[in-house]
Amino acid sequence: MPDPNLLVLKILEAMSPFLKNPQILEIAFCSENRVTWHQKKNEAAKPLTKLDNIWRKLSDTFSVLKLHKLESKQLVWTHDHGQIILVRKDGKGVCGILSQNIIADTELQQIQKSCTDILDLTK
Amino acid sequence: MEIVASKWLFVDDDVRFLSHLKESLGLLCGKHPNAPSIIISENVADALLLIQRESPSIVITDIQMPQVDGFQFLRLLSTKYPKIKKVVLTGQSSTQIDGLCQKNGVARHFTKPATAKAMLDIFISLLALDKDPKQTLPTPEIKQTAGSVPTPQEQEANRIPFKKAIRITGKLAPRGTSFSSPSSVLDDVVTPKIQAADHPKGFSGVLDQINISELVQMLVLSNKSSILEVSGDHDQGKIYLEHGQIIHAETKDQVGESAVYVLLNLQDGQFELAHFNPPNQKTIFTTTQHILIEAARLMDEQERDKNHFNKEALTSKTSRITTAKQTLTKRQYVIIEEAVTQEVYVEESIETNHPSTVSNNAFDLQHLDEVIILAKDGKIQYKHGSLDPAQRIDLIAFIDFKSQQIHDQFQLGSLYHLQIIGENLEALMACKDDDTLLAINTQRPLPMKQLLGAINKNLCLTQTF
Repeated sequence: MPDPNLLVLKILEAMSPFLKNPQILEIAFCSENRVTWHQKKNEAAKPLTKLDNIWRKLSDTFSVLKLHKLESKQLVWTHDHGQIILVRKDGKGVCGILSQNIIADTELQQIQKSCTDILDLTK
Repeated sequence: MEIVASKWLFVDDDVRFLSHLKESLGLLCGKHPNAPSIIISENVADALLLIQRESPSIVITDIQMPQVDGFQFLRLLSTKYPKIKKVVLTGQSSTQIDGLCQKNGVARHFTKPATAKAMLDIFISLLALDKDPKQTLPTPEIKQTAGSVPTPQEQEANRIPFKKAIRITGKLAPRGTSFSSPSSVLDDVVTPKIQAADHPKGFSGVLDQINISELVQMLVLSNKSSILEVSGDHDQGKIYLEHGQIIHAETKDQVGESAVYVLLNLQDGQFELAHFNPPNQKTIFTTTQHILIEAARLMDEQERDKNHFNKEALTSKTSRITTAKQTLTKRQYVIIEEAVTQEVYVEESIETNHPSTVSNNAFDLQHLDEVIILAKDGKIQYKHGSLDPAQRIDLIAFIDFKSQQIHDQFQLGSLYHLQIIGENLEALMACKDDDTLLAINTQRPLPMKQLLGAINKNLCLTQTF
C-alpha cells in the first residue's frame, strides 16, 4: 500500500497553480484515510496533524450529507467575506480551496472542473 | 537506552482506527533516528505484500476482519515467517481468544486502547518486545491488557521525551480521564528528563486536546515538585506543586484555590513546566485530590449552564447561526424537540404561507422537489415535498455549525449560502436575516440563479415566497 502522504502531496502539487489566482488564499487536500495537507499562498505545503483541523471537519460534511440521502461531490460555502470550495471523489478524498472573495460563477465552475480532473487523473 | 530501529506492521480493517493509531504512534516516535516506523494495512493481502517488502519485526493484528481473519493470518505468519513477533490488538477479550492467541504463538494480546495511557502502555510494551531476543520465536501467550502497567525493566528500556508523552496523551485522552495507576507513566518515563541539567527551562507543550486537569493529575501522581505555567486565551497563571501537592496558584487577578479552578478550566493555550522554586506564600492547604474533584464539579456545572443558555437562546428567537458555537448534538436535540412540538403549527403555517396564496411571488417553490424555510425563531415557516422536517432541521443545524467553524477558522463572516452538488441532485441552503431556506432538487438542476435572485430581492426569506 503506498504511503497515503504520497497521494496527498501529488494532488496538492497539482492544485498549487490555483494559488496563482490572487483571490485564492489556501488549498488543502484531505485523503480518504484523513491524511491532510494544506498550502497557503507563498508558503510551503504542510501536514495538518491535529485530528480536529478545519479541512478534516469540512470533509466530514460529505459523510453527514450522505446520511441525509444527499450524496454529493461538490460543496461551495459562500460566506460574507469569502468562499470555500470542496470537491470530493470516492477513493481519493476531498480538495479544498479557500478564496478571500466570492468567485464569479464561470471561474468557480472552472475551478471545480479542474479539481475534478486532478482527482480523476491522480493515481 | 536507545530505541531499536525496526518496523511495526498494524493490520486492521478499521481504517480510521489505523490512521489514528499511526498518527498517535508517529507522535510518540517523533523524529528519533531509531524510532520504529509504523506501517499499516487494512487487509491481510496487503499485509503479506508489506511483510515481503518491509520485513517488519512485529506484526500487530486485529482478529475480526473480513475475508481472512486474524487467526488465519497468524497461522500463516507462524508458517511462513516464524521470526516475526506476533501481537493481537483486538476490541474484544475472551478466554476463547486467549486460548487461540496462545495456540498461535502470540507474544502479546492487547485490547484496543481507549485512553492515552493505554496507548502509551502498548507502545512501551511493544518497544520492550521488539528488543527482547528471547521472543523471536513463538512463545506462550503473555496476556496484557492495555491499561496495565509495564514492568520496571520495560519502562527503563523505553524512556521517551516528556513532550511526546504529553502529546500522545493529548491526542487520546478524553476529558475527565483519570490516571489511577499507582506508578504513573510520567513518574517512570518522564521525570528523569525533567530534572536533566540540559533543560533549564523545563518542558512545554500545547493544550490542543489535553486538558490542564489531566496534566495536573499526572504531575500529582509523579509526586514531584514543579511549577506549571499555563497561558490561555482568557487567562494565564502558575500552579505550584510540591511533592505532588498543589501548594499555591496565581492568575492575573486571583490567588489560591480560585486561581487553580480558573487555570484548570482553560481549554486552549500553552503550558510550560518549570523547575520548582518555592512561592512567596502558600495559599492552598486543602488536598490536591479535593481540589481536582471540586474543579471537575465546577466544570460540570458550567457545562450545564452553557446548555441551559443554549436552549434559552434558541427559544428566545435569536439567530441559530450565532448560537451554532454550542455543541451540535445538544442543539440538534433542542431544535428537533421544538420541531416535533410544533407539528400542528407547521401544518397551519403551510396553509397560511402556501406559495400560491402569497402575492407577488418572486419564485414558485413548487418547481422544487423539497423546500423547507425556517424563520429566525426556528419555526418552520414553509415546507414542501416529501421530507421529514425533523431530519431536515437536523441537517440545517449541522450546516450552521460547520459554517460557524469556517468563520472561527477563517473569519469569513456569516454563511450566505451553501451549494450542494451531487450526481443527481442539487441543493441549496441559503440564509437571509436569520431565516434559512433549504431547497433540494433531484434529477434536474436547481434553478439556482432565480432562487438566489428571489432571496436577494427581499429582506427575509419568509417574505420572499
